[in-house]
Amino acid sequence: MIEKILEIAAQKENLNKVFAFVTESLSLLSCPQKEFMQIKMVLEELFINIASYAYGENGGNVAINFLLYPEENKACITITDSGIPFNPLEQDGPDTSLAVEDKPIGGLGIFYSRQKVDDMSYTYRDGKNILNMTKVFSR
Amino acid sequence: MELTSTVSDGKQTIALSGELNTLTSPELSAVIGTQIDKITALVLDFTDCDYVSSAGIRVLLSTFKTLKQKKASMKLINVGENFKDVLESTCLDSVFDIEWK
Repeated sequence: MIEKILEIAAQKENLNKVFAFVTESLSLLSCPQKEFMQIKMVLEELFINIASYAYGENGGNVAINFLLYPEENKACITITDSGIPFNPLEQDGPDTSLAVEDKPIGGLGIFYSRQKVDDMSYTYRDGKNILNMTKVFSR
Repeated sequence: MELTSTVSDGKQTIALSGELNTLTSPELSAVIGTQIDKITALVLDFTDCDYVSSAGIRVLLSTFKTLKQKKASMKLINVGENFKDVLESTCLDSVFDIEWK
C-alpha cells in the first residue's frame, strides 16, 4: 500500500495542484485513460464544491488522501475539510423529466461523482467533513 | 485552453483545445458572450477537448438556454468518448444537438 497526501487551501486557484496530485498518485496504478479522466473529474467536482461553499471569508484547508493498492489496482480516496457540514450523499440528482428551461444547473458535479466511484461514504466527526471513496480500476 | 472563434453569416464556430474545467470555462463564456446577441447559430468543436467538467457544462447549458429563447441554434461537434460519458451521466445527451466523433 502506498499513501499520498495533499493538504492545500480550499481555493479554486489550487485546482491545478489537485490535478497534478491526482495524476502523480494514479500513475502508480494502471488506470485506463477513461477511468483516470473520470476520477480526475470527480476530484475537480468535490474540491471545487468545498472551495466554493465550505468556508466563509476566512477560508480553510482541504486534505486529499490516496491509499493506493497496486496489486488490486484500487484507490481509496479520502477528502477532509473543516467547513460547514455537507453530506453529498443526501443531495438529489437532477430531475431528468424537467424541460431544459427548468433544469437546475447546480448539483450535476456531485451527481456525476457518485456514479463514477464504486463506493462513497460520508462521516461528520470532530468538526470535519470526511468523504471516503473507493475505486477499483479495470485492468 | 485555446479557443479559436470564427464568425460568418451569423454563425459562430468555436474550436476548443485543452480542458474545459472550472478555471478555463470563464474563457469560453467570455468568447461566446462577445457574439451571442448577433448570431443565429453556434457550433462548438470539441475535436481537441475531451475533458469537460460541470463548470463547462454550466456554460453550455446557460448558452443553450439563451440561444433557444432567441430561436438560435447550438451544436456540439466531434464530441469524444470522455465528454460523451459526462453528457450521458448527467442526462444531457438528449438535450443538446450533438455530433459524436
